Amino acid sequence: MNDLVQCINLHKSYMTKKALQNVNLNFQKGKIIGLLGPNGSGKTTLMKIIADLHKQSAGEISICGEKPSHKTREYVAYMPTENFIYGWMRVKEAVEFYAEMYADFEKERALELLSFMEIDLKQKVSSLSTGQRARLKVTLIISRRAKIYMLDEPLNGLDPISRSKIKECIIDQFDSEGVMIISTHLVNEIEQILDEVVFLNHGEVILEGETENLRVQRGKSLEEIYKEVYGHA
Amino acid sequence: MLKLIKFEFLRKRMMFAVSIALVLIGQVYAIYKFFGIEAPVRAIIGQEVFAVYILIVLVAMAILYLIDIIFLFRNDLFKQEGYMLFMTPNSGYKILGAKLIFALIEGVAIVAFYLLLVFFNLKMMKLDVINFEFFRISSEDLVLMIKGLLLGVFVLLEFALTVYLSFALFKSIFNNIRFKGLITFFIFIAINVFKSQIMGVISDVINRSPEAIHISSSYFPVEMVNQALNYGLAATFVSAVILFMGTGYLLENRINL
Amino acid sequence: MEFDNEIPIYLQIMAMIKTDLVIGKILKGDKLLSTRDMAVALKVNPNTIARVYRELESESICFTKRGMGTFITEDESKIESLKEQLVDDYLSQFMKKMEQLNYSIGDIITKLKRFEEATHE
Repeated sequence: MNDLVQCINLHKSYMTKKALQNVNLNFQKGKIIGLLGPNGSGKTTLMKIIADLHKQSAGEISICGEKPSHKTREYVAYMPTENFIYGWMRVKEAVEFYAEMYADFEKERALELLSFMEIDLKQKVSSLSTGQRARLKVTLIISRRAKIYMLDEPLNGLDPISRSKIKECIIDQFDSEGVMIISTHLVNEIEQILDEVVFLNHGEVILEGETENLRVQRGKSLEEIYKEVYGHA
Repeated sequence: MLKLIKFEFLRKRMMFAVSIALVLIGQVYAIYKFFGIEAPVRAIIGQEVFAVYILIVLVAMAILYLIDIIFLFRNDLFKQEGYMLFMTPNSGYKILGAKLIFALIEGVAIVAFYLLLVFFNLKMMKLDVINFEFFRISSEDLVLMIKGLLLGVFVLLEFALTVYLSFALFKSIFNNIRFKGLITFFIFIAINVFKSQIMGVISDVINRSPEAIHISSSYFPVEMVNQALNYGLAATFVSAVILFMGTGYLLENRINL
Repeated sequence: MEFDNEIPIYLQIMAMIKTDLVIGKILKGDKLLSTRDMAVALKVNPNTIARVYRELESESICFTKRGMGTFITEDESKIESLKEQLVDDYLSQFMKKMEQLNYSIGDIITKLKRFEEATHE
């Protein structure tokens, strides 16, 4: 089975708004997938459903053939946009927390990556700069040997050095046995590392396809396609 | 499970250190003040001063404990950092269970610490040598006292669980609607009204409400107090289990973090 | 390397490697970077590099030794013909542009001669 994530007619609605409508998607092993769309288009909701942090309202979703639950979280590595690492921890403690909680966490790799990311193990998480925090977040997620990786806005609001380091880390550590889903609206920054893209708008999939094919078909860069797709929205 | 409990301890280590330090400083200050009172006066009002002091400490500890255990859950459910915990491959029941066990251990530790303080003060203030009837503590009284304090811990825990349940409802079924703060508050009130209704029905059935015996009455036979405490413990326990199951279910199956 | 995001990335990388080969930046028999290292160096998807190597292999410009990596062909004639092909490509691009400007081949030759004289002075 190459489909690691399968969504069939997925719906998510809250009492006052629809967050996802009729989403049908398959994410395959070995791919880096871009989840594109403006704020509020449903990118985060979709990721959170896959991560079992949200429950769908209707439709089916399977993660390696299983329904999302705390068990599927064993092989789903999700990085929320939020600063989710406890501020009271030292970097070292955050690493140890991951090592204890996740069987697939590779501590050695995490330590190596942290030195590449230029983050001091002894520093307190709350005292890290925005860029350092973002780098720490990515490091913790990427150091797992998960099947599904999801990075929610990994480059947003960061300095060029952090962006470049994070991009390099994603490329270097990408595991062909897994799938990597990256959400962003900074298309230009990552379009060269995406195999496939999914464009979301108001909770619906409005365009999907292989990146290189889209370039050939439309003779445009992803960023231009993005502008075209959302220009009138 | 152990990992989760360990994590809760790790997180609270600073707070524990600071609170113990504060209590100790307060203690030193209290003793200093106590012996600042002139000796003859001290002999007369000593026990009242002691009783008031020990009561104030009790109430303060209970309030701080309650706030602390409510925040134990609130911070993870409502703050961004809670993702770190809720993303781990642990079921909602397990995460909640670890918090409760931790809160229980914390409560028992506070009780033990409190008892230590009481005896320490009895000794320091030299009240035990006066040998008043009231302060002559038999082993039976001590058991009752500990039981009473533990009941206090349970009641606070159970109360915190009703708060947890309303938080969980807020973050699951009622998520993403307007006036959620207000709604949560009403849910909380509703849960408590509902609970007291149930308690009323039950105590009508067994015709012996735990509140039937007032500790304040001048005469309280040990046997009856003991029985009341037992009923109280049982009732809180049952209620806590139901609240735990409800909250755990919401965390596991309905959550929208 | 800066990419033109309107054109498939793998084509641009193939062209880059071919150019490097023709101008002698890469020599015959050279070992190419591993897929991952190349991807990191160029900041592109590893799958893109894998595709580049596959395509170059099907054009017999590269070959893979199991467990050793990807190597440039030892075949000198292959590199020669690659050079020819590249020259033809540039030339046809050039010609297309000149034709747009209504230059005949004769005009172009005169122009080129003058250009040569001018640069030699």
